[in-house]
Amino acid sequence: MNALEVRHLTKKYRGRPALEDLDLVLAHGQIVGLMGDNGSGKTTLLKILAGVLADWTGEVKVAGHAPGPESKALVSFLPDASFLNDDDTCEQAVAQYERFFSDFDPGKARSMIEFFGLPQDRTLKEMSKGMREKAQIALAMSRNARIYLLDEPISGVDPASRSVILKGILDNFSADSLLMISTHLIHDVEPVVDSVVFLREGRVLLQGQADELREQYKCGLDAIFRKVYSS
Amino acid sequence: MMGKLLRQEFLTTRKALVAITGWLFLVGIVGLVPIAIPIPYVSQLGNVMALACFVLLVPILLAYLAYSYWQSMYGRRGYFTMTLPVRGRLIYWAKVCYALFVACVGVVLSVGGLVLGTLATDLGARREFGSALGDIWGAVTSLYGSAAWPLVVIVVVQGVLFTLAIPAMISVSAQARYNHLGVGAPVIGGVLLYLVYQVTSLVAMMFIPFGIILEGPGAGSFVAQGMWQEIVDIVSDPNADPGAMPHVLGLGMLITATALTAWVVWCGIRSIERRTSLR
Repeated sequence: MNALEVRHLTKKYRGRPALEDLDLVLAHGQIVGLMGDNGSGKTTLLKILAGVLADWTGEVKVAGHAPGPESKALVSFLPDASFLNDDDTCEQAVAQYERFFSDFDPGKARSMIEFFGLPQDRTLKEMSKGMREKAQIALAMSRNARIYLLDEPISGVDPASRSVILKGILDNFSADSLLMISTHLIHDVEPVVDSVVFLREGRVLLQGQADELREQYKCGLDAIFRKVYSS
Repeated sequence: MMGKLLRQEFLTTRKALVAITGWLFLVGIVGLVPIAIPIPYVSQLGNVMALACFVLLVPILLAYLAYSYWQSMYGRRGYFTMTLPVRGRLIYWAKVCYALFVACVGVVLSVGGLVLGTLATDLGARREFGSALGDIWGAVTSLYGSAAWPLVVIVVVQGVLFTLAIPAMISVSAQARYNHLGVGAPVIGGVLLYLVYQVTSLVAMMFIPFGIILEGPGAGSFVAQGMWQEIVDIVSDPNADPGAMPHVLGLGMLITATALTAWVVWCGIRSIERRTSLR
């Protein structure tokens, strides 16, 4: 069974298409970079897969289920928003995840929080944006999910923190899962992705294994991205 | 899971609810001081202030919970709530049950505050404690007779129906087709819901043959009668007392309000489960 199966997916915002007749099939056991320019539909696609965006047409299967409670039990979604209670500390946020997600590993979360060097005595609103991002990544990656959907996890943080965040993600990703990471910072994620999906105007512009694409275009993903988007 | 959701509600709202209650009680009790001493002129202002604080406690607590509902379902925190592996109806009912519990606690505190107010009045007037409370209840029962208690029950039922309908209306307002309006959508939805409740309640009170006798020998008993005919009789009678009131209060609004609430709740749950569109 494929991790994700998307057929003829169309989503419009007040008549304007964000995704148009999109087809995408992804297997487990890989890290996929979802890349595209602003407004290409990356966030919309991840929201639909996570089950927080409705009113689309087409067919979507996430770990064999249509988006809903069954798929949500198998998907760990990291949105591009600060979704935790500002008044909570990291430990309170860990406790919150532990209450609601049966696949959540609190020990792993605490290790990641320690790895990221996050303070235990501060609430989230007392932390910087980068710190909050790290806390949310620690929680999302500490679920033993079948699919991880990370929306722009490294945007808005400094280059040093990006490396730390990516290391934290990689160290806690189980090899038989699917990890989909959306970003426009291709250079930063290039070393970690197994395959890429380039989106433009709501459609898949290019998809393939990272090594094969590098071989085919004789350049890195960043250069491929520039090449195919300018064509 | 219901227990976990209720606990989550408690953990995320307790500080604000305690702060609201604390401030209102503080201001209310400060308002009671000039009544108890008493201080001429100032005691009138204190009376209004204390009354407003104690009476508005429950509406303000519920307004905060409605705001919290919007934030936790459709604001940035919605990304946590809406990715929980549970059905939308469970989330809705957990939030509504919690709101009803808060409202019950609020009512107890409100009544406690009002009783304190009557005791302050007794103290200020140098009367026996309980005198003012007895006067108020006497005024209510003389106005409504045996219908006083049924009327209290009717007010409670309407309060419960509103507590069910408001979050459902918020969820309907948050559908993709309306959510470009932002927080304006639930505000418009709330106004429309209120107008529909008012119009349907008025029509139902007039024409649905179900009412309660307000005064006279049968006061407090239910009758198969609406208010329309009696109002027509009063208006068309040239000899009628200009201040005459109907003897029967139509209760048809309970039927229409219940039906309307059931429909809004159904739409709200459907919106959560099938139409959620986080921005």
